[in-house]
Amino acid sequence: MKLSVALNAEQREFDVPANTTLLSLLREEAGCFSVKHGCETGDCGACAVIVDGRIVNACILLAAQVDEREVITVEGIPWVMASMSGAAQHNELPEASDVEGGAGHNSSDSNAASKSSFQNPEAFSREEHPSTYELLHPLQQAFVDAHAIQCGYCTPGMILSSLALFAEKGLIELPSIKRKTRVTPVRRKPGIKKLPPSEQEVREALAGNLCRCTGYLKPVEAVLRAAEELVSEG
Amino acid sequence: MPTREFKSVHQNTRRVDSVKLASGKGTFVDDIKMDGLIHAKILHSPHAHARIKRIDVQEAERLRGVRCVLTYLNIPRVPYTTAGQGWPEPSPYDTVMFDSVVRFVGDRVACVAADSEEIAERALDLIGVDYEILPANFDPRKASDSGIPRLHLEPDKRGIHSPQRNIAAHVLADVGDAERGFAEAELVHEGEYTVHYVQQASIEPHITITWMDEDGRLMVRTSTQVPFHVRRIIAPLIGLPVQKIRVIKPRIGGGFGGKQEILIEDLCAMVTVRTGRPCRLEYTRAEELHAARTRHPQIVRMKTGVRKDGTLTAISMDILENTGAYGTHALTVQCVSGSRALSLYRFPNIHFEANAVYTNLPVAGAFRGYGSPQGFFALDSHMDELAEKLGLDPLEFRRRNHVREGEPTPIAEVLGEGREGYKQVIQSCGLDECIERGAKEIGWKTHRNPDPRAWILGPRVSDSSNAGISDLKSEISEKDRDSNSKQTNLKSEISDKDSDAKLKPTNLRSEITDKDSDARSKPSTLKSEISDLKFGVSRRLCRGVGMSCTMQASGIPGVDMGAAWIKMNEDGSFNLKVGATDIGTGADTMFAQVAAETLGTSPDKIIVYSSDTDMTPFDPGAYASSTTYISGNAVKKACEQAREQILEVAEEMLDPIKGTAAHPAGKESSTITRPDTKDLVVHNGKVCAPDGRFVTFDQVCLRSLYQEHQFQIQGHASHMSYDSPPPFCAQFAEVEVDAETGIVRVLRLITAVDCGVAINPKMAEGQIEGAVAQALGYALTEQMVFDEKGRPLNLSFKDYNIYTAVDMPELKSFLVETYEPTGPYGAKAIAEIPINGVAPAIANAVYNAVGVRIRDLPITPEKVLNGLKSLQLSQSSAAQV
Ligand code: FES
Ligand code: FES
Repeated sequence: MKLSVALNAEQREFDVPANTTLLSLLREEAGCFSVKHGCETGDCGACAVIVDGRIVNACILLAAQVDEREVITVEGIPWVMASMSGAAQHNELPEASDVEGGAGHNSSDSNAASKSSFQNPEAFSREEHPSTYELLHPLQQAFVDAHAIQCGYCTPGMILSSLALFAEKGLIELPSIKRKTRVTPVRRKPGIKKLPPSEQEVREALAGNLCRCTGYLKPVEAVLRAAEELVSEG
Repeated sequence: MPTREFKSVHQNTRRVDSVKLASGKGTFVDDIKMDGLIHAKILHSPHAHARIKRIDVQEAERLRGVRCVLTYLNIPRVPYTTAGQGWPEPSPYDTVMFDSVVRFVGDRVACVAADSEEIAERALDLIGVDYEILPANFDPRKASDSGIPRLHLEPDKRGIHSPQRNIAAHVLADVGDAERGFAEAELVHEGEYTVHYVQQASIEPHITITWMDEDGRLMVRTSTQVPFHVRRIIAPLIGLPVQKIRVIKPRIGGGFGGKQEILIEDLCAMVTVRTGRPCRLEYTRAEELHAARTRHPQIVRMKTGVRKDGTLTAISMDILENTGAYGTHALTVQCVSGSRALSLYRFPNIHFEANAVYTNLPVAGAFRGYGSPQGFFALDSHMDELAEKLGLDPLEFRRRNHVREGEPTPIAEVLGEGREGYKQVIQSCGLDECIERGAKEIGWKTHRNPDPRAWILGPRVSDSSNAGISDLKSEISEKDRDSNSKQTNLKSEISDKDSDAKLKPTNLRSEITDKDSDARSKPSTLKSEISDLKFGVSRRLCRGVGMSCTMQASGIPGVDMGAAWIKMNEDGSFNLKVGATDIGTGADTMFAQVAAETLGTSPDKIIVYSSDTDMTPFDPGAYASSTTYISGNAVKKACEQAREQILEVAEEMLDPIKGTAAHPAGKESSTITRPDTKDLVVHNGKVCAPDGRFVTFDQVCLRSLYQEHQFQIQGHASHMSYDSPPPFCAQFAEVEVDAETGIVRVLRLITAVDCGVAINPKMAEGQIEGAVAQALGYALTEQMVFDEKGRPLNLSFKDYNIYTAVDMPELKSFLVETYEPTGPYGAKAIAEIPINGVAPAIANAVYNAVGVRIRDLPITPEKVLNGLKSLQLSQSSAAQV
């Protein structure tokens, strides 16, 4: 079946059997090797990706379920960063979606309406950001600095879970390549102070990401550190 | 702690692989694309013990897309062991690739390779097998009884201690005369301790990809801890010489012993050999949880003689080990249980006996700690009981008796790994300080429960006149049960999957349309509410503190040998090639630090490439806590050679007449003398002369490659050792036991480890934290359970409960540094030791909290509750008397 997925800043078309999981779409068709798998029963979070701003386990979704939706994997983080620094078009988003409180998900109908609205592909230019080696998101950098990575197999999932948490808390906005889709549910009114998540919130955000190496202490530290940094950067 | 100035070691250098891992770069086995890749799947036995009367693969073979089907009928019968150990392996050769008899639920029956996984799976269903079901035994205590089936009577099997009695391996070791020691004792105490089946559960499953290269050599890209053993062990199975095989280890997603095993490489390789096609074989999580390897369950009987003043006179330790259907690591694991536990305290007389028996259950193997967690659960519980009998503080009792610097550990000499060992004398021991630091942190004096039986007399919750409080409490007890679902009885959980589903946060996340993501936060708020209630309201929630002391070793003395090769490049960087296997442990980073320290440069100048049987020298692999101590020493030696060469070249360059080094400003060449190499120092990528002149590493290398006396600056070295200096560890747990439900909540877990000089303290801490998380599962929530036919009941992470981020107690880790004179820059091992003492520390803490002694892991609410009930009974019957 034919699918059209906004994957990491690119509108991609796929033609896959109907029983293809999102996990195999991402790994085998799209070549997103950052998406790992540790169970394929929805229990470990190694395959976690962000779909329309929410963290989901790719192994128990069908690829068909993300048709006309927006998927972010760790490969897309340079794009998330590029839009952090204002390069993406999220500033142009209409005021109407400026909803406080986290319930601002657009229905899939409006997604469908914006199907062909991939615009401004230069928003994220690979020339400008030739390599993620020079371009780690503060969160990735925090994972590196805090020694939060041992084998690293759970790391991409943890990073995406944390990104989704940050977006939920309004610390970052997840970019969208679709004109009308507000991916990030929260936009704080100017003047309202952003608050970093509490340790408990971080632990809950990571509760679905099993890690057998770290004991979670350093990953939690890394996320808190990155959150602090994002808050202090405003 | 000696005051030594280190530049690169003893620093929190960032891991050399962390940037690529943080950015999700494809670096694991599965992260490659291969043209024409086919997929293999295994048909596992549904029966615990059966003979295959007939196996029909025709239909499967006819299925479109099936490339090959392997069974015992078309595979040569070559006995071997799947244990990835040095040669000759101390594990029995009781396994063949496929057999006509299956010995546990999960044993291999057939393997299919097809164009896709789905086709392979469909083909498995088409294989017709007639089984003659044989009687099976699941009880290790009965393994040698008459009427119990013998599992390995075939004459071609070798190295089994007694096939006639189902004994895979047997060990006997004595120091002094235990009987005499017991006679000299004023108190003799006995106890039996049992530990259960648990699984390594690395998040990356076992996975292998094989293909033939252009030269007709077999490439094996595999998630392994032991690449060199893989090559050696699969060669005779697939009928290729070692020369024709290359094993490549990319990044590994955790191993913990589970990948010290040749579990699937032989099959994948055989498919490629037979079909010429690249092949991929990966275990599913369900396969991991029954058809991979486990920790050896053991029944440990301890008997100790002691004088009233706490002096130990004798110990006898008797282990009955369940090795499952095959004897993988059976001998050596029980050797380690004994040799570690019996080395820690000064027992003048020791008797040790261990038997590993076959049962029709999953195959046990290597798992971090390798016998030590089993042995120390028994020993540390036992020491606690003894201290109580003597009326001594358990901490003081241990302090009086543990080994110290300069003392021998006599058991090590008679009990090596699978054979006699070598004399060991402790050269560094920081255990006293570990105990002190941990005791201070946990508040040993203030937080020990002075009266573990107090709860029996305490007011019941319902007695409370304050209705508000009791309402709140019952509500909490509800939630409490929820959030502690992991700690409730495993069997009941499994039988009730639905109720479990709502408790695990993971299930919820799948529903992207589900707006109510709050469910994930369920376990949160509880802690504070409960601790508010703790004081002054009821005695229902009882706190207690317990501790344990443990040791490990650093490599297998007289057995492990690791090698390294370093070469210099013209920009002053170096290629370091080691056989040692970083499986997520940080070994590559540690090597870069050791190399940089030795060469006088920074770790980022070292390009580490590890574990490729074509490209790197030999190493046994990542096990036995050997990498830092053994392979680290090899790296240090190789770098010392390279450094000597650098100094020689630099000396020439610094020659005032012939040399090329710049003269310091204002000095005439006549006033400058040629330095001697022994006066030169390497520092920061330069060779510096005493007079302040220097040449840089790139200048040195350029000259040696292109100009004068040309040669490649390089060093290569091997290291093996008859010493195996033990790291030491003290662990402290504070628990809260609910006297009404039996639920144990670990509040704090303190670990203090003496690992010599930590080459990278942050990485060492990470090893502690990860080991503790695994050990918490071992102590409380993880258990492989089987039905009465030996069928596994928990085959997913829903049912096999490893700790998650919200389950963790407060952790604190201390590195108590000593300097181990035989280690590279004073280092000893760290990876395994912190897993050993968590379970006994918790068991001892539970005892301190409520007076219930749990001698049988895991510590489930059911067991605690039973203990509480019998205490209450004995209390009330005592009251009646
Ligand atoms: S692989 Fe998807 S949750 Fe484990
Ligand atoms: S770092 Fe290995 S599973 Fe998390």
